[in-house]
Amino acid sequence: MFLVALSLPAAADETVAEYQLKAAFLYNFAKFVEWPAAAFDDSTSPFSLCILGTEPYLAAKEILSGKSVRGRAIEVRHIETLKKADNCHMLFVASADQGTGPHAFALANSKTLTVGEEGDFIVRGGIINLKRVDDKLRFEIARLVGQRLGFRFSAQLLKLATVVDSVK
Amino acid sequence: MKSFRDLSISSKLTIIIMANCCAALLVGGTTLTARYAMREENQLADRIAVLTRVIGSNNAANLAFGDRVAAEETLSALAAEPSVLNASVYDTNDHLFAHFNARESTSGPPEIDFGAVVLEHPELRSGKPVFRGDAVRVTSPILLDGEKKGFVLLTADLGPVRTAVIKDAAMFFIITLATGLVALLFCLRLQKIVSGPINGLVQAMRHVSRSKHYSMRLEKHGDDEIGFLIDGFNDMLEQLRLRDEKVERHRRQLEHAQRIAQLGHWEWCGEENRLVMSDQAIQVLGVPSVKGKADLYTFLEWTHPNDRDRMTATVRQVVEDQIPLDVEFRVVHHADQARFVHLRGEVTQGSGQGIRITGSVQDVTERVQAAEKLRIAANALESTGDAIMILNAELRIITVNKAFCRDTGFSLEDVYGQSPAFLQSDKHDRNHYNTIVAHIAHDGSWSGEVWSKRKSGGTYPQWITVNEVRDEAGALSHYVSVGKDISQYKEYESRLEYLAHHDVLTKLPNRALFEAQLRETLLRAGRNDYGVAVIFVDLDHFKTINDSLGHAVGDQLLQVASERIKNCLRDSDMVARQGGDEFTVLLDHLRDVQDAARVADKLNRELARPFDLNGNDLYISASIGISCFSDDGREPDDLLRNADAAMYVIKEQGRNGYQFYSAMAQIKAMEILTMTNSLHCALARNEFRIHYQPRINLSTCEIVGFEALVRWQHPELGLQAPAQFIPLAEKTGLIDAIGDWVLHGACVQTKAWHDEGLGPLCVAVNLSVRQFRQPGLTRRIDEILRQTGLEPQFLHVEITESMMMVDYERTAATLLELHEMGIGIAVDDFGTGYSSLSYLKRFPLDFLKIDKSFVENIPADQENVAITNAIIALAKSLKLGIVAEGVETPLQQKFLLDAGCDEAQGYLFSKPLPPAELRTLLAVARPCATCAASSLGMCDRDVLSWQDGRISIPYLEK
Repeated sequence: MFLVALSLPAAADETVAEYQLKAAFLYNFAKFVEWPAAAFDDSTSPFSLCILGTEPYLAAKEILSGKSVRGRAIEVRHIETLKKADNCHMLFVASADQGTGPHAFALANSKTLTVGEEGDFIVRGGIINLKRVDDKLRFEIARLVGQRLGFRFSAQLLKLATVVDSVK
Repeated sequence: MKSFRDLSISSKLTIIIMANCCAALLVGGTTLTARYAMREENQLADRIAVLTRVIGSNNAANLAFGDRVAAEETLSALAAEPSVLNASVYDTNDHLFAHFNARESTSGPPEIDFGAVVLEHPELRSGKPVFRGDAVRVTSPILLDGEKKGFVLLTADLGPVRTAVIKDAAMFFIITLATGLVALLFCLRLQKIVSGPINGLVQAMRHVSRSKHYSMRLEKHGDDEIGFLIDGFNDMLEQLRLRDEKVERHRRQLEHAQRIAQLGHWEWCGEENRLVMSDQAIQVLGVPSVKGKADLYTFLEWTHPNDRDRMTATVRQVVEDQIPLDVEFRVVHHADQARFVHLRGEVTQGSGQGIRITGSVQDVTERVQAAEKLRIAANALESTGDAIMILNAELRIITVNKAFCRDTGFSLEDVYGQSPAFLQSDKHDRNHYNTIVAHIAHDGSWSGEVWSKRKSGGTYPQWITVNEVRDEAGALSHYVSVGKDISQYKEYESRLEYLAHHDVLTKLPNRALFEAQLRETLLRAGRNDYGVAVIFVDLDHFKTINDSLGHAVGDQLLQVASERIKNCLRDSDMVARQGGDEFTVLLDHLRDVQDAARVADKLNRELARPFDLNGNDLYISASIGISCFSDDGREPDDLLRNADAAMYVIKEQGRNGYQFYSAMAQIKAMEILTMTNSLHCALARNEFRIHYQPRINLSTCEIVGFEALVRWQHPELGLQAPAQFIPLAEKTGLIDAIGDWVLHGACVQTKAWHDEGLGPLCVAVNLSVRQFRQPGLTRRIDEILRQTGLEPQFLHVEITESMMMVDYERTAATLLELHEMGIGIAVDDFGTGYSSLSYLKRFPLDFLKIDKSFVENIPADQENVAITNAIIALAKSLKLGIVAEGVETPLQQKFLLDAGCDEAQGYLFSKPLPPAELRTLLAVARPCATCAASSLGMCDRDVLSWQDGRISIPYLEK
């Protein structure tokens, strides 16, 4: 089901499809990134995925609920503002809700891996940014920023990503 | 084609070894190659599987993020692995996601749908490699966080691996082939070790079987089975050689034996009526050589006309009944002389017309003639009147004739196998038969008179002639004994003989017989050592009686006189009538001439007694002359003549008396007389001496007494020992006086020594038989003791065993009297007589004196040791003292002391000594002998010496 969504990026409602693909990307990021141990209360505490933006939330909720990553159940949360993004292990910020002005996404919480979809997301402190290239969804990773925050990226992930270390 | 069995051993060995070798190499090689190939392929498959997993893992992110380019880039790294043909990545929907193709030209387009691939090879899902053709396929799932994201499918080429395996297998095959060749070469060499000797054996066997050369032997190279085979082969050859020799030997022996036995061989074939004969058979039958032309008819022509019918019948019977042929018949021999032939045969095959008979033919003329002779001889044997026995060479009876059975009453069954010795009567001594046998053995024959036994028990005289019978070779085969009953002849002869040798009137032997007997006696006497005397008796005044009272009375007188003479003689003596009134007597086995004198004296007395004849008392006397062999002659004539001469001396001296012819005899008588006379005088002349032999106590070495021994100091003959005059003294009765004198003298001497203070010594005096039997003995001894003043306990009397054993009652009485008087009683020479223990117990004895013959040679002589020990034990049990006589050596002394003997006398201590010398000894030795052994050092060493821890009183010389 997931792969079907992956292979049909432009089917039906374009926006829904776009976010379903991105939700799949989020899920895969969780698998190729290692969180610092302190990010979880204990070994059974859930993986908290926070979505800022209604459309992506619905898409994620649809395809990720009931799934788990590294033995932890994925808990998809919808947040209205960035300020409410507490206790999130991954935070997706939809472009519509990103707003303007600088955001120190990275500073919000050291255990939160921030993922965006706007061209300047990395510049504004985000860690992973999704972008469309030649009709394909690609991603950028601010490796050093992430690593400073304690995340470890898999070599395979880095190989597929565009690493942007010199932004700051 | 030859079967394997027929191949030579070397080929068999080669084939077997090579087959084994190849099988081993092939199985080993194939197994190894297969294993090698499998391992190579598996290794490749494993490597591909690893690669697949690695590729799968590396493509996880590519698949997750759908990056096809990255995926193909990852796959392109497989170009480094030459065996990989292509690789594909499929997503979870089994759609091809990425693909890599190493060789565009060889690999076709990739399968789009993984499901289709898996459908073809379901095992791919489980990750197992799938071999298909020259390719192997391996899949691996792509997992991400335990979630399946897709599959990787890798196809690898097995071609290079297989090529390498084939190359190796080819190399291995070449090596195998080379090894096989080398093995073949070795095999060809090695099998010669085994097959070589066997081939040798086979060749030798062929050689032997061709040449029959059984003395050939094979050399053995080792002790393996082939060695045993060669040994066996050699043994077999040896057996064959021996058998061959044996067969050849037997053949020659048979030929030889047949020739010697004049035994011919023949065969008759009924069908062709052909008779085939050996040369020997032709010779036996005495016919010209016929060379196969003979048949039954010609054979019958050779048969004696008288035997032809019998022969025809016999042959017919053999043919019809198939019985063995055994017939004797005569042949018309070439010398026109009938020869006897023995024909034997048996049916060897067939019957009726096809019959074949084989047999032998032998010339038995000699045997038949001999049998004829025997038959005649047997008839002669049975018809003769003489008793005939035929004995075999071992002298056993094998046959007797009718006359023998008639004479003896024994049947042939009774005597068969017996020795003829049992037929001899007891009239012959045991050696008589052996003498006859020895005589026959020496001379070949014997004839003489034999007293034979009848079955009924009676005996009869036979004149027997025995001749030995020898066979042609001269070897002893039989004896023939011909016996004639000569009972009647013997009776007649003995009657004649009696008449010839006896006086009819007195029935006494006549002069001739006397002389014959005398001659024989003298022959025996010459060999043995005893006396023979001839007594000539002449009746005095017989002529007067004969003339005055008539011949009848004279004859009667002679008869009675002859009876009286006979009664005076022993059975072994002989009396004969010489003629007229003369008789001769032959005395045999005389101890001395005195015996003859006694007989003569008796004859004088007997013939001097009145003869009561027809109521008249007639008085005659006899003049007797005696001659002794061999002093008075060695021949019968001489002795008779000399006796006659001696008789005439008496006649001249006035009749009635006897006279020895021999001057020698007279001298002997004179000598005795002289001795007797001088013995009489000796006492008066005081020529007797008493010597004393000390008696020693063995424990204390003390002289306890002595034995008094009488000696005769003869003026001419010197000092005489008792043996030289005591017998004479006993005979003449002088012994009484001498004994009395000794008893007295000994008592006097002992008393004197007592008075001198030489100690309480005992004197032992020997009593003679006569002395002991004298009624007044005890009284006389008492008298002597009183006269001399010797206390009775110091006097011992010695008597011999034999004296004691006669007249028990008197002996006991005498001994009791002596005992009551306090006189000691010793038994002298103990052990030589026949003492009864019960007698000894009843007599009041004090001592036993062991005879010196028993002391001699102890302790070496075991028998004497036993006797001495027994006597000592006996004495102890009877509580008697014991004195050993004749002790001469320290060994004897020690033995006796150890055996428990109390006292001893002998030359070891002292010989019998004259009183003066004994006195010296007593003076020196006594104090010493009585002292304790420890003080013996004080003793005079010349007199006493210390030997073997005992005191010894050596022989004293003065």
